[in-house]
Amino acid sequence: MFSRHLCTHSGCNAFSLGSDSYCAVHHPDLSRVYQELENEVATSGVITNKNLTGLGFKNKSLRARRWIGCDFSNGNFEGCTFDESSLLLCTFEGATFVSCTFDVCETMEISFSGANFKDCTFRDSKIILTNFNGAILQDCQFIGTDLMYSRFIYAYLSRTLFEDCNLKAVHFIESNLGNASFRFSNKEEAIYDAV
Amino acid sequence: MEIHSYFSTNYLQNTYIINKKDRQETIILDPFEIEAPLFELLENLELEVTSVLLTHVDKQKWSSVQSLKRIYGTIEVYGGIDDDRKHDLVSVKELDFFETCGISVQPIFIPGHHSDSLMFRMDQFLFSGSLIGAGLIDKADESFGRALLIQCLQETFEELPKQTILFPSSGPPSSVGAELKTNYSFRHQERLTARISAKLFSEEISR
Ligand SMILES: [Zn+2]
Repeated sequence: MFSRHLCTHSGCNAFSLGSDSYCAVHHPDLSRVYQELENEVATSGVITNKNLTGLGFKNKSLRARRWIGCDFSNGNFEGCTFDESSLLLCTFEGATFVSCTFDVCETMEISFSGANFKDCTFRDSKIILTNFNGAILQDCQFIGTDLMYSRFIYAYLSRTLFEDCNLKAVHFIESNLGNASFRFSNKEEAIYDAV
Repeated sequence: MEIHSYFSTNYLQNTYIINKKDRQETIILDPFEIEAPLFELLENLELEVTSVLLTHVDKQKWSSVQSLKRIYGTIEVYGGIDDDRKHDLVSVKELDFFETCGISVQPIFIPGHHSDSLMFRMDQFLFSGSLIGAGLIDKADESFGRALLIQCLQETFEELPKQTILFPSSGPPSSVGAELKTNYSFRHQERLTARISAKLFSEEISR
């Protein structure tokens, strides 16, 4: 799944929200969008093909759901949990995550490019083929997590821990790893130079 | 338009299934391997393959095309090869647009790598094949080709809407805007070009 329509507001190049005609900036009734999403999360195990760009979520449980083809770009997530969720073909470009958890979570073909993570955890998860290029991660923890084929190109990792993680073919090209810790992880199987 | 992806665990490559909503006929873009889970996905979606788009023709993908034809019968195959005596394929390299499965497709030829290297743009999506993935540009055969490839990709990306979503053959998805900011090769282009110019200049002198 993954289809998009442009916002119908004159001159706007953003995608419209959900099945509506307007983007988050031009939408006349955002509270209805939040309510509809909340109802869907409460009643459905699979949430597909939603454009939710620019929306904010505080202390929301988004756990144990399958998210397919959803766009959360430039969103704000504070105290949210994606635990036990699976995410496929979703994008979170430029999103901000504060104190969020992605524990026992599976992501594949997801873009977190340019996102900002603070105090987030990825525990016992599969974060495969996931794009963290240009992302900033501060005080984050990846524990017992498989990160195979994920990319952290031009990422900035401050006080970030990779403990007992699979880093096979993970790209850390031009990343600032100054304060990152890699104990019990196969750091030598990651890629640090562009060929 | 709906897009589904299939990841080949043998080839570590992405194949994309693209169809117009409520239509059964579907496009397969870059089939690397025809295996049971891909069929299950197509069956579950109740889709029938009638069109194949190839960002570059190689032996592996061409063999997959033959398998698809044996299963689905007549399939239109679109790619960038000029001389199609060996391959039964519609060359779209020179076209501005063409339509298949009710979807308008813009083929974008990018020089510098293979002579048939194409990207396909559909709506707000760009399928880049192996030319560019998230953060990296494919290796070209030699340094001039590589510099040309990077330059052409950068110029193309600068003209596209920044929110265009990028689906490469390998690695995670990205967007045109994200690549212009975080692609290693775009950021290093000047240094590379300068290095090549210096090399060419020194070769000129030593002649
Ligand atoms: Zn708008």
